[in-house]
Amino acid sequence: MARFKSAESIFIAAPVEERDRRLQLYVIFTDFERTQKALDAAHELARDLEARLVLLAAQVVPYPLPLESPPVSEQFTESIMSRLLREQEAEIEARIYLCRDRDQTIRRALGADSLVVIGTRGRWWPGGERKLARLLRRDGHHVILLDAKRARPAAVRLEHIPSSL
Amino acid sequence: MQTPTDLATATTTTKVVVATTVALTFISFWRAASVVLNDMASTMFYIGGITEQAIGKPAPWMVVAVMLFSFAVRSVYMESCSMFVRGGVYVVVRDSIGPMVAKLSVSSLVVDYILTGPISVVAAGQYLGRLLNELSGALHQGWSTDPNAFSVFFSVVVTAYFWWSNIKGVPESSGKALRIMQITTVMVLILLIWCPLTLALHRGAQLPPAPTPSNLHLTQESWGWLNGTFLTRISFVVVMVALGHSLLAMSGFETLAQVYRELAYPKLKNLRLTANIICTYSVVSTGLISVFAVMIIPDSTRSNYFDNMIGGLVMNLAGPELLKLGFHIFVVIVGVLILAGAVNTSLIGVNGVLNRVAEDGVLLDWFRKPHRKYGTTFRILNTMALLQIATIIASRGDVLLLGEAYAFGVVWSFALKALGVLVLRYQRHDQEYKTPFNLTVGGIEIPFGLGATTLVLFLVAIANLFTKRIATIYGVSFTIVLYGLFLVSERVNAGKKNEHRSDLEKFNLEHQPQIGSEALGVRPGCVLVAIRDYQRMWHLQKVLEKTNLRRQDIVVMTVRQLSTGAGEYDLRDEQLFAHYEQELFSHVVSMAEKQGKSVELLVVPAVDVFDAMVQTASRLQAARLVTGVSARMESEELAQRIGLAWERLQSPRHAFSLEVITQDRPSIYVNLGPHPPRLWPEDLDRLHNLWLRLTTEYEVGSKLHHRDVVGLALQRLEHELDSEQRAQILADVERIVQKHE
Repeated sequence: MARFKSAESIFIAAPVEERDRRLQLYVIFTDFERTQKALDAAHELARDLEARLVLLAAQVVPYPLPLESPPVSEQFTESIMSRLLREQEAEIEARIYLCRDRDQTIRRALGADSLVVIGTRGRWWPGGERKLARLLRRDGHHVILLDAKRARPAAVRLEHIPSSL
Repeated sequence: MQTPTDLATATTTTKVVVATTVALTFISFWRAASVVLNDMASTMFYIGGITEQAIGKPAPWMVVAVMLFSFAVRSVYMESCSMFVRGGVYVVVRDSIGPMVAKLSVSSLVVDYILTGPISVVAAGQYLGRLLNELSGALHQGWSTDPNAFSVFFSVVVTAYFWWSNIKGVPESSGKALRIMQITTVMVLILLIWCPLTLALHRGAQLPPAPTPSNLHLTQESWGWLNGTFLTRISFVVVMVALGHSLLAMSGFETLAQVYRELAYPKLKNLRLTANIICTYSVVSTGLISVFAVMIIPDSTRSNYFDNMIGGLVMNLAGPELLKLGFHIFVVIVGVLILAGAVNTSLIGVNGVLNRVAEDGVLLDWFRKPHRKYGTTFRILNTMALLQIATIIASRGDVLLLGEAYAFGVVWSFALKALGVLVLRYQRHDQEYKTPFNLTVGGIEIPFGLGATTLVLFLVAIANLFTKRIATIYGVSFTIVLYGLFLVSERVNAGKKNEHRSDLEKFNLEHQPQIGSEALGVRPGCVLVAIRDYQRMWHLQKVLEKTNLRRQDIVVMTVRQLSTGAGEYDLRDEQLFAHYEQELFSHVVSMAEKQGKSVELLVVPAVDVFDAMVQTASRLQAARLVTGVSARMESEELAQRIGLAWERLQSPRHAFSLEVITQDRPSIYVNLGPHPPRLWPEDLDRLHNLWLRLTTEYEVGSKLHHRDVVGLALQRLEHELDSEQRAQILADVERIVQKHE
């Protein structure tokens, strides 16, 4: 994988005692419904693993536009995220990345050896989510594909559970 | 400043944080070229027919001439990019000439974008409609479609599809551009092989006549308002008018301004490569294919293929009919992909341009109101899509008519851009690249190349004004309407105070409990650059220039000084990252982008600046800490204080170098921590002589090494420093230090 870093995150070192070092469980934003189902499933997993939930959304900005000027306004996207997350009971952080390539951005945004949940449409033909899952697994991450059509809040059907968990 | 949005629910202490960040990726020159060519290469599908209808059989040579002239226009865009003017023609013209002309340039650019869609998709419709007729004939089906009517229907459907996609904000992957160009290149390569083979088999094929004034046959329509005047007999005018009919082959450079920012290091070199690839590809694909079309398609039938020249070229190649038909289908698929894609690009582009001018208060906010469900600026998209559909219907599928109208926007936006860059040549002196052919007369630089390019563009633009009647009426009317809208918008917005500075970067703040190389995602051995004043960052500039990112990462840090005791409390983001830091890091990001390099940004809150720098360097396992010269102390004192801070580190202390970079003097290097000293030559000689004496004269033995001699000398010095000889030794040390000064 080509190495790159984004210059737009600023790290702030805390001058106080150590904060939260919990495991982070990532959910990739696809669309509102699927992401909602994925968050529900991830919430149960996070509770069991005592992990922290992070929602990653990569918003593609096509080339005629500057990277800071997405076709969908940032405020609107953030309000959608907020609406989505407000329905969750867990503490969640949502990160929206304005980018040119969704898959590459998600790959770079994940920490090493991450646990990732992606909601899919459950179709038999390979869609964007399955391709992303394949790439992430190749990078060494643990990916759970959630069939959003069949998932129910109380009993989710998961396609893959990493053996290490 | 973009800060995380904290939302606390009413009933629980659940915390939700939403933050947006820009994930800038640097791309190779190949990818950059493919993005621009996706826009520019599509003209090969319609330029041949349009120009030949306008100026006659020498048309391909005028297309080649325009493609060669594109190298000059390329230089103008490169010069503009090298000044790092973010944004395209609007920003360049606004900064150089002023807002009034900038509004005119935007108007012409909007005309350009509005017409890009219709001409591309109507051309695609013509190719598809005529292919369907060919297939019907080949399969003896007997039915056929009117290509013009079909292309209008097809165009309206495609435009509506992309309008809806843009309303929904469906993302368009940048990888698609690369794939489309790869497929297009396959098509071009096949043509470049098959056409010469055909010519070799069809002996007697002749090159198109030379583009001399006597060979250029402009129709009454082509002369427009100049028809019947004495100007039609002036060779220079004939050539300018002919160029005007061919210039739309060059549209698409505007995207180059956008991709420049994201080009990888070395930026300027990659920009040159990108631009050269674009122009060379265009000469070969658009220029050569136009020449082949005239050479291979017989004169008697070529007029049937004016609206699908490449299709006609394929059907006249040498070879089995089935193979030609198969290739024709492939050509049409490629054409539809690249031409339909241009519709999407035009909608996205015009949306972006109008949003940009709206940020400047030049367009009413009403236009920017986001869609309730999708969040897109639907009013701009609706207006532009309606205009495009109206244009398609009004054209009735006439590619020539659309081409003439399109040329209006293309040439005026080029001309105004070139004028803007020419003015900036005198207003600014930070061009990293200059358009070639500059003469210095009496100490004054005369930009001959840039001036000549600007002059040619304006002459062609003026020629178009008088020769393309419908385009002029359409273009001028639209420009007046749009300009009027901008003026009204400005007046309405004048009263509104806009506190938002759009030139500052937006940052996502990530709190880290501990600084570490893993947390920041940097490799051990990085270069840590400490900054505080964005007007004194030459040391960062040097680091960016010198550092090879394949070997070392760059971390840029600033220290947020706290009062004693502040570290005991949780600090809010505003206390840690104020407007000044945002401005500071905006400058850092700008510098890094100019070099095409990535950096990590770090804010360290601390009571003592030197402790913060040294601790950060230690935790990151930096190889080098770089600072600039302090305004408050000498470099030596700065180095000493940093050295003392290093001594206060807890063991084990990470050793690293300190570099203090001064603008006009050599840098000061200091190694912090134990390190092998760089001995003076005379000391090396002395050491060797001592070793020789000890091993030979005093027969100490061969087991004595040079390091043993040094070790013994150090032990004796340490012992004597605590004895009566202390004063003498200190006097000797002072004498040695003074000798260095």
